[in-house]
Amino acid sequence: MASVRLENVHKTYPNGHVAARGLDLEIEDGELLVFVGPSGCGKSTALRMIAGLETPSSGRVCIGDRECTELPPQDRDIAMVFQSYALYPHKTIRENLAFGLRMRGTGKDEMEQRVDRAAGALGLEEFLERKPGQLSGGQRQRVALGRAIVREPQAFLFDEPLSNLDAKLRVQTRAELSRMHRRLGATMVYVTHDQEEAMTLGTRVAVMHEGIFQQVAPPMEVYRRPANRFVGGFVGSPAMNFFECQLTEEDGKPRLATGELSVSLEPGDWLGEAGNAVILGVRPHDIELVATEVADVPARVDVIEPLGSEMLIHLQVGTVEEGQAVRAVIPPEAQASVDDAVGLRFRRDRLHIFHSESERRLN
Amino acid sequence: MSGWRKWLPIGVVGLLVLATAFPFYWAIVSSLTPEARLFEAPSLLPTNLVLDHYRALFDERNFWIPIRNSLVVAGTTTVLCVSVGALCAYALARLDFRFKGVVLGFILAVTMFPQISIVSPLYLLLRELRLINTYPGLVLPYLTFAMPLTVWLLVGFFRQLPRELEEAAMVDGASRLRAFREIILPLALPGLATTAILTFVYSWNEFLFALSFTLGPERQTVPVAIALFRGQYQVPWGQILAAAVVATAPVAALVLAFQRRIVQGLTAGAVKG
Repeated sequence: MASVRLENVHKTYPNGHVAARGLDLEIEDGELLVFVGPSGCGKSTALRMIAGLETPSSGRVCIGDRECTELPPQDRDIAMVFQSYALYPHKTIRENLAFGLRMRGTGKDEMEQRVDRAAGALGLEEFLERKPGQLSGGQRQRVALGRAIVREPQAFLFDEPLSNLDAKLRVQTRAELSRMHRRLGATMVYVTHDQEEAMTLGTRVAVMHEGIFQQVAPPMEVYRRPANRFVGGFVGSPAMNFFECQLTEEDGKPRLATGELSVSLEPGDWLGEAGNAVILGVRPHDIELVATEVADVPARVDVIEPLGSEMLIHLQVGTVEEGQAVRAVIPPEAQASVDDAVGLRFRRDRLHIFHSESERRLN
Repeated sequence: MSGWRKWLPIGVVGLLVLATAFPFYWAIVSSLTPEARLFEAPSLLPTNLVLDHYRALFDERNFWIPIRNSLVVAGTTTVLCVSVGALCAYALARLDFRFKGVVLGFILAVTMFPQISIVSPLYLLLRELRLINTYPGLVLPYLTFAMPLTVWLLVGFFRQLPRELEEAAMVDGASRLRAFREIILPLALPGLATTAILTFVYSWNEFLFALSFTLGPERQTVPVAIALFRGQYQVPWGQILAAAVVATAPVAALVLAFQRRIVQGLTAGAVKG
C-alpha cells in the first residue's frame, strides 16, 4: 500500500475544456478518500490521472515514493473498478480475475491461490467458469471488485462503482466496501456524485467543483463547517437554505438582516464591518417552528411532506414575488398545516455565514 | 389470419430463393451434362450425368494452376489486408493524433478511382518494378483496393467496443498492444471475419487487373483462365460451367462456415448485447 500525492495538477483537454485547475492533495497510506462533486466537476479526470489513463497538462502525480506523472497505467501498480465494470466478456470469471496477475507474470500456483481466495471472499466460487454475460448486475460488480482485490495493488481506484446497482444492493455493497477497506487497510480513492455515498464511505471527503478541491476534510467536518457556500449547498440533504443579508449592529451586537429576517448574533461573532453583505446558510434540520413573536423570520407553510421519521416542509418567506422558498425538517409530531403563518428560528450554533463575493466561510 | 396472408411471405421468399439459386443449379446440372446434349431441348431434371467436363478441366486444361494462383493471391491479400488493416483501424479508432480525419478521408478517396482508369498507369508502374506476371504484382494492387474497405469497416467495429475494456486491461498491467491482442481482437472477431471474407471474395473474383497484369497460364487466376477457355471456333460451355462450379465452391464453403459470424458482423451494434 502507498500514499498518493497530487501536486498542482492542471488538465486542459484538447477541446479546451478545463477539468483540473491546480489540484493539491496528499492521500495517506490506508486512507479511503472520496472525490465528490456534481457531474463535470473534474472528479473522474482527477481519478483517471492517478490511474494514468489521462496525462496532466502540468503538475505531478506521485504514488508512494515514485513520481509517475508520465507513467502508463500498466506500470503504476494500481487497480481500478469502472462504473461499467468493464469485465472482459469473452473470458470466464476465473480468467477475468486472473488477467491482471497473468499480465504481471505471477506464478501459476500463486495465481490460482489468489484467485480462489478472492472468489471465496466475494462469494464467487460457483461462477468461476461462467462468462460475465451470464451474471446479474450485482454479481458482475463483485467480479469487478475481485479483479481489483486479487492484484493486491499499491492503491485502489473506484469510478462510481455503485451507480449501476439498485438502491438496496447499493447500500449493501457500500457497507461491504467499508468492511473491505478496513480489512485490507488499503489506500483507496473513490469517485461519486452521490454526497450520501461520500459521507458514509470516506475517511476524508474531497468536494470538487469546477476543477478544484473546494474542501478536503473528514465527512462530519465537511457537513458541520463547510468551507464555502458551494460545499454548504452540495453536502447535506435536503440542501442548505441561503439568505443574502446585511451585517448590521444593534446594542453592540452583530445582527444579520434582510427583509423580514433578523438574526441576532453574540458579541463575539464579529464577521467584519457593519454594512457588509454576507450570505447566511441554514440547514433544514437546524430550523425550528416557533411562535411568530420570538421568530427570526415569519413564513407561510407551502407544502408538507411527511417522511415517517421526520417531516419536510416547504415554506415561503416574504411574498411569492420578492421572497424565497425555505425548506425545514421538523419532528413528525409537530403541528403544522398548509397556509399556516409560522415563525422560523435558526439554531445559533449551527449558522453558516459566507462572504457574499468570495463565498468563503466567515464564522 | 386468412390463408393467403399466411402463405404470401413464404411464397415471396420462395420465389426469391428460386431466382437466386436457379442459375447455380443450372450451372451444376449443365456442367454434368455431356457436351452433345447441352444444345438439345433442356430439361429441368437431368438424366444422363457425367463427369466428363470436370475430367477435361483438370486433365487437359490443368485447372489446378489457376486455382493455386487464385488461392495464393487471394489468401495473401486477405492475410496482409486484415493484419495490417486491423492495426491501422485500431490506431484510427483509438489513438489521438493529428489529421486523423484527413487520413480517413484519404483512405476512402483511394477507392473512388474507377479501376479501369488506373490499369495503364499501374501496368507501367508494375513493369518498372518488374512485377508483371508475378504474385506480388497482383497482391499489391488488390491491397490498395481492399485495404480501405477493411480499414473503414474495422474502424467502425473498434469504435463500438467500450473504451473501458482496454483501459481496464491497461490498468491490469497490459501494454496497449497486449490489450489489443488479448481483449480487442477476440471481441472484434466477427468484424475481422466479415472483412476477411469480403477481401477474399473480392480478390478471388477480380478480373480486370488479373487479366492485365498476367501474361501466361502459369500466373493466371481462375476468372482469367475461365475467360480464356473460349477458342476461335467454339465455346466449351460445359467446361466453363464446370470451372465456374469449382471456382465458386471454396468461396461458398468459406461463407457458409463463417455465416453466423458474418451476420453478427454486419448487424453488430444494431442491438446491444
